[in-house]
Amino acid sequence: MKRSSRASLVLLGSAPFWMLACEKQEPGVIYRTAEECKRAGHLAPEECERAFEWASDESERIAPRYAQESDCEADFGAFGCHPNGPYFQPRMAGMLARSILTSGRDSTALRNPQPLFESTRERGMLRTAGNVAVGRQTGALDVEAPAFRPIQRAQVISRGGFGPEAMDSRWVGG
Amino acid sequence: MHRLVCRERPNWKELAENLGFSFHSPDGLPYWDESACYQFTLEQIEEHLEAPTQELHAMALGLVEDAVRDEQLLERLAIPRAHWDYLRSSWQRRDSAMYGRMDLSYDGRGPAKLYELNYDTPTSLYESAFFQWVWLEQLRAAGELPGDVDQFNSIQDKLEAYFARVGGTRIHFTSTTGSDEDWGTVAYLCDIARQAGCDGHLLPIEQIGLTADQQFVDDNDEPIQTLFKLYPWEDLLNQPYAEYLRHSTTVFLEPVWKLILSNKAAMALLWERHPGHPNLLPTYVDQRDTPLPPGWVRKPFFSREGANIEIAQRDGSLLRVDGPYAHQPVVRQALQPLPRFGEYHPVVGSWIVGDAAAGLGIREDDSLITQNRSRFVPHIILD
Repeated sequence: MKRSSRASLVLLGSAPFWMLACEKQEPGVIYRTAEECKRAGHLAPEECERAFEWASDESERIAPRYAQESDCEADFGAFGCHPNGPYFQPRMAGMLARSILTSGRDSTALRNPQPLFESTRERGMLRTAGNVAVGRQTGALDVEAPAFRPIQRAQVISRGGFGPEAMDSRWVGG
Repeated sequence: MHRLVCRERPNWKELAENLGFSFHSPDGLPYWDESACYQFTLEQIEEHLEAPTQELHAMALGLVEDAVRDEQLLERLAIPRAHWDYLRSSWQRRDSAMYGRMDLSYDGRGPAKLYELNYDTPTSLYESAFFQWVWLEQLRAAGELPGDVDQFNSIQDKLEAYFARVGGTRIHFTSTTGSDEDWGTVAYLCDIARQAGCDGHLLPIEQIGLTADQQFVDDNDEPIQTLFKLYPWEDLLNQPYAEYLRHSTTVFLEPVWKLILSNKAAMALLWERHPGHPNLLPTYVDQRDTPLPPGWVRKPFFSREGANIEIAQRDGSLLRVDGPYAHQPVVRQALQPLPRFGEYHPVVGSWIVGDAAAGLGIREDDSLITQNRSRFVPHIILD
């Protein structure tokens, strides 16, 4: 995007003014739990289950990682984290997937389910592992394209060659 | 690059007035004009405009670096000797610069050609940074432009980042109050500075006072730490308070070293240093009373809005604009006619904020000389 992300005035003009630039949007689904997904009825129950399982597996790979549980809880709240090997990671707060119309039928299918998280600094706002905010609403929605960009995390094979250190910079919500 | 006819938003004038754009139609004549817009591809923007702007900016700074060390250059730039030390210390302190606008001729096929640098008091900032951005987002939201349309315009973001760096300090914003456009521009910058967390204040320039120890104060008799002025340096240095500038603790934006770039002799020096550069036009210091050969334009060192320009067209005919700058030294620049899109001739204004190319503002005219009555037309990027 070659333009400002927002334009705003606080003094000039007759009243404060605020406008956000929107990225290109693509159809997706966001749900906080598999049960919510099933209740919504847009997708088959098995589809909801599969998507949440997939997102949960992805979460182990791509969710932010912390060396200290306290650092993770500072961002995601008490009981907001769980151990994964030597690290701590936030619990999944939801799932985001692309929805596509399947050919020949009038139904949607899901692609690339991914985990969503919720930071203590901005309750209710769901974010991807890449820290892209996708909103507070759930259901079948248009989602801004950056949310769908894949996260690359390298396969770590060893650690500590330079002495004690924190992994990953602190995750910043908001 | 295309000129598209656009549908005007029905209430745009009311919107403009609510957003502080009181000068959208001075004297009732159109200035902001959304009946049309220019369309570029992303490649045109990045390859033909953004990258050359960055390069030309670096060349301009290189010229300043050389000029502060070389008295001959300062003389050729017609900078009074009395100001040389003041200029030098401003540059050596690395007094930071906020913005500038380059005027380019560009028709979509490249390379863009630099006419001149407006690096001290560039106009059309509000329209370029803010109002054309709002225009784009409203048309996108209304479905009148496709969802993936873009604009080369991160000027407001970059201005805010600039103020956040300068930041926390008290900044005064000053100009004369007689011009809606000038006062609207400083009010807009003050607004951004406040959003960036600075303590910004508007100050009419005639309200600036002087203390017994020769420091500048505002209309509440409080010291002025940083002063953004929309007022040309060459005029400021002729004012009664000019003698106190040298020893003032006030930091000025734009800094005084910009004086080196704010006259057209700098274009002759750039050509001398970078002859044949694809984005420069041949330019030489000239003599006023000699005949102007066909295919050349004569301009005074310090002039604005096309005043006192002479154009010798290739067919030998002469175009002349009157003005108050008739007695200044002049340069001669190779004629690069503005591109034609129907009956219109656009000049591409390419903005620098800090040291980064930040966006475009396009003005078009019915004639070959962009003057005060030219109109601001928005643009889009769409492949």
